[in-house]
Amino acid sequence: MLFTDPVFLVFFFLIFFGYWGLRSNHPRKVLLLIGSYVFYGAWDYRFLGLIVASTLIDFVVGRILRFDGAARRRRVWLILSLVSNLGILGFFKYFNFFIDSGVGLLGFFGFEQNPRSLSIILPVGISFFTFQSMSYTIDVYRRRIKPISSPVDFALFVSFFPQLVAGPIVRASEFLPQLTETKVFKTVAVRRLLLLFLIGFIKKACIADNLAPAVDRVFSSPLDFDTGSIWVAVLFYATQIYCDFSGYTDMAIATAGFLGYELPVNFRAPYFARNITEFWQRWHISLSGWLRDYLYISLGGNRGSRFFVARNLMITMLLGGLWHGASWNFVIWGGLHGFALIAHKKWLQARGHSFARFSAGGVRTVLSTGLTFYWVCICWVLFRSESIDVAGDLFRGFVLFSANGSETIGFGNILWMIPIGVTHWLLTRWSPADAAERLPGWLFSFLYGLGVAAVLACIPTGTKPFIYFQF
Amino acid sequence: MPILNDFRPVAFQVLWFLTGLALGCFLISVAKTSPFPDDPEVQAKASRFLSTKDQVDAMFFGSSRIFRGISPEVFDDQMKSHGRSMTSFNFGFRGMLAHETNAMIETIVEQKPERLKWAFIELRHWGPDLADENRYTARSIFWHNPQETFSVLKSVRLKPFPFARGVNAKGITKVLKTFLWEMKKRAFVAKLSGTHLFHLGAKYANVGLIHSLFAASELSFSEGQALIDHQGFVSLDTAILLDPSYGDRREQFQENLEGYRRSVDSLRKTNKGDRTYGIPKNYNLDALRRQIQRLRFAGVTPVFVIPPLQKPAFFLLDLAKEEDGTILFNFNDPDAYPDLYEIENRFDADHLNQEGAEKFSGALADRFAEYLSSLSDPD
Repeated sequence: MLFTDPVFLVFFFLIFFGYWGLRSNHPRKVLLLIGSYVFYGAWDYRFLGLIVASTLIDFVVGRILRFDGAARRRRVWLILSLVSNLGILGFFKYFNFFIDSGVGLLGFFGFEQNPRSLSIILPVGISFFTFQSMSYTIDVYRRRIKPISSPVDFALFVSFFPQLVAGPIVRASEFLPQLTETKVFKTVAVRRLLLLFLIGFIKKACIADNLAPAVDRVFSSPLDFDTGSIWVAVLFYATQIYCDFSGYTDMAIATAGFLGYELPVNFRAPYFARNITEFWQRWHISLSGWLRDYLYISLGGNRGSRFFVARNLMITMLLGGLWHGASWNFVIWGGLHGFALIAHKKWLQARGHSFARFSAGGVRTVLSTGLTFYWVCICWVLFRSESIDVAGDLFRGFVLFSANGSETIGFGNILWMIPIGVTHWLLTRWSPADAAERLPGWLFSFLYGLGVAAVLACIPTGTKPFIYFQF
Repeated sequence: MPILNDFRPVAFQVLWFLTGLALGCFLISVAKTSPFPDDPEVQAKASRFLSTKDQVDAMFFGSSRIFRGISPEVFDDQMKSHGRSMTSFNFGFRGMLAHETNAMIETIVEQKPERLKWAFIELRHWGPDLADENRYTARSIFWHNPQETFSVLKSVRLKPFPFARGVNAKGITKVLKTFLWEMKKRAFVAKLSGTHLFHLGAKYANVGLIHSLFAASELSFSEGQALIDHQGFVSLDTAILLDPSYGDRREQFQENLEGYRRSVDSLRKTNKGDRTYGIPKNYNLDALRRQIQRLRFAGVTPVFVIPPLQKPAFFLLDLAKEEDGTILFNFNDPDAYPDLYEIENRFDADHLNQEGAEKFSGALADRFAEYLSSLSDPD
């Protein structure tokens, strides 16, 4: 069930009216929990067991940590929770990857092995709900939050359907307090949320899905295409993945908002970042924040020598890359970002400039933004390519300008980047929601109807899942 | 909250929203340039058809068995050898359903092709099932006009429920199981009906109209020119050169030739039996009658074809028998048409290759010429 799927509309209407039709908070939460499990079960009901298992483990460990004060035993319980969660994640997501990589390594040293690989289906959104559930236990262990006593509240925190399958990854400290309040519909900013949902829908269905065929064609056989086509495909992919993922996030925030819940912002115009550090402060903010707080800081963070800081940064980014998928491409993608982050840190230290001072100045800003975007696109090539060889073929066009395939998808298509980029830039400076609030009610509704009609005509036919569902 | 104040009364706002939506949909539909669905395969064939529509005497409609099985060039040559000059065009498509065929014929007839007199239609069941990969595609949205949608909704109610009822239980368990079964049934019917109704909505909301916004359609389609050059026909032998993914099907066939031979033998035996399905389901008959009437009204004679399948087609034969005067050419007979079942003439178990298609097209022309002669022959 996708947000862009008509079935979701029916599902959400049922939940929405059922939710606001109930008066007290507890039945509403039970309804949301049932709805969330139905939403997840619509993909494959067999994997509901995984969410339930993950929920139970962390809920029970949380309760135990509350009553157990002994540091050593607390650590044991934490490790038990981490091992269980990462075990589930590791088995379903990484089992074949590690087996294949191990066999490859042994083969490299002359030990040929033919192990059986299991045909494991990757449960949708497993990385998201596992991380979310784990963060609760770690926060309880660190005594940052108090363990929750209601299993329904905790289960809803793990499985809340708007953000269940592709984030944003919500922290317990952000979400659990919201569960204690009885929501009032009057506080729901209907117009703002309607617009946010429509904008998310436009990003996903009208932009990302329309760009996908060109991207798929070039990335499936890059040797057939010329340099211009490869440039178009890479820039289109950068746009596609941003619109796909941030579109999902917008719709998730709006959907949760209609039920009175607030989800964190996940994107802040990342392609306008002036350096790679800033990019990671603007891209998939909930994941980068998670990695910072639960991995980077646990490794030592900024403490220690420059080497140790660089090491911590690189480990965090490599594992962040691996989080996206069981493939060396993702690991290298993470490594390239890690390298860029370290290089940027070093550069700032060497120049003795503060970030703020460096970022000032028009020409510098344009240059550094362009350079950052180019680097991010280089990394996207690895992220999207089916193999490192394919990525190498694409780099010949995108980096060396020497692709000489005979096919083309039309370099002129690059012009689509102008209206998309300008609209994106305008939206960082002007809020359509603020403008909408000033309109008379009838006019807003009429214009919204016209807008929906235009959007429907622009969406491609067929159903295309969100890219981040596979992670 | 002031934002909500002007959302009351909600009905008033919803009305304004619907007005905007309807106006927007209407304005956009005015800008529609092609009456056919925005599918690259359909567009390639439609562009060729529209440019030569007044020269076409006969058209072929149906699934890939027709699309990949009938070469209009061979058919026309064979008709010429029988002394009948004709120009035909293949308007078959992969996985084309009976309802889709209806809608496609309807659109073709609306173009008023001056000489079109014969419509060769693959006889198929009318039913409500839609494969997952065919949901909300340009083609499936296209055929959901009100007439076809309401017809398909009727068939949803008549479709056998695909879950066991569990009648062996007793007492409270039986009551519970019956209740669950009824719920499941209702959910099943609601889901299937809802899917078709959403398609109908999507049609009038112009979903996918500007799909080619980013020149996506022609990018993903390499068969277009070949379809234009060969009157809508491209054999699977040619298609595999343009899209290697067809190779898997051929490989699978080659790996299981024994299985293929067994099913042809079984068909041979079954065909000789005296099995009948009785009167076909009414909605199938209604749909067939509607199709025939609509075509006859437009001055086009339908000719139904059962291509060489691997399984018996009693239901279809009975269906055709029910309607007086139906012209049916049945090729689903390994004894009468052994060539069409030879392995060297097949691309895979379901489809003919280039050579097989040429033979099928020739055999169809022979049957048709024979039929035309019988019309002019007073005996």
